[in-house]
Formats: sequence, structure tokens, C-alpha cells
Amino acid sequence: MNLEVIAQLTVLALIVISGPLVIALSAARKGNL
Amino acid sequence: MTIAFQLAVFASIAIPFILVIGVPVVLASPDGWSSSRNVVFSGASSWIGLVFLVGILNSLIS
Repeated sequence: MNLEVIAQLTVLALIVISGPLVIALSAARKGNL
Repeated sequence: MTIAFQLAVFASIAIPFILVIGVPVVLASPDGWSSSRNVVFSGASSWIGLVFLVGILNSLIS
């Protein structure tokens, strides 16, 4: 098991999920979408 | 000294990641900017300080 690839995929997943997370958090706080 | 450098590098990656999520949420929230302005400014200024800290520690460990 290549640990470096797992770390890269984990960081990629964090970056990709950060965009929808902003939308979800703004919607949860009833922000100006 | 190396562990301090590594922690500073990690913080200089983790803090902007939090800011990338937090700043748009704060700006879009109703009455969010006036209540969370100090948090945003603290995060931004601490990141600026970390950039110089990483540079200084890098010159010390190598």
C-alpha cells in the first residue's frame, strides 16, 4: 500500500469537498446564497 | 528545531484551508462580518506571521 498516494488522495478529497462545504455551511447559517 | 519547523509548515497549510472555507461563509452569513471580523483578521495575520516564521526556521535548520 503506497502511503504517499493515499495522502495525496486525502488532500485532494479535502480540497474538492471544501467547495460544496462552503455552500452547505452558508445554507445552514441561512446566509446570502 | 525541526519539529517546530514542521509544525509551522503544517499550520501555514491548515490555517489557510480553514480560511478558504470560513471567509466565504462569514461574508455570506447575515451579520456575520461584524461578529466574526476579528477571527478573520486574526487568521489572516497569523498566516502572514507564519510565512516569515517558516522562512526564519528554514534558515536555522539547514
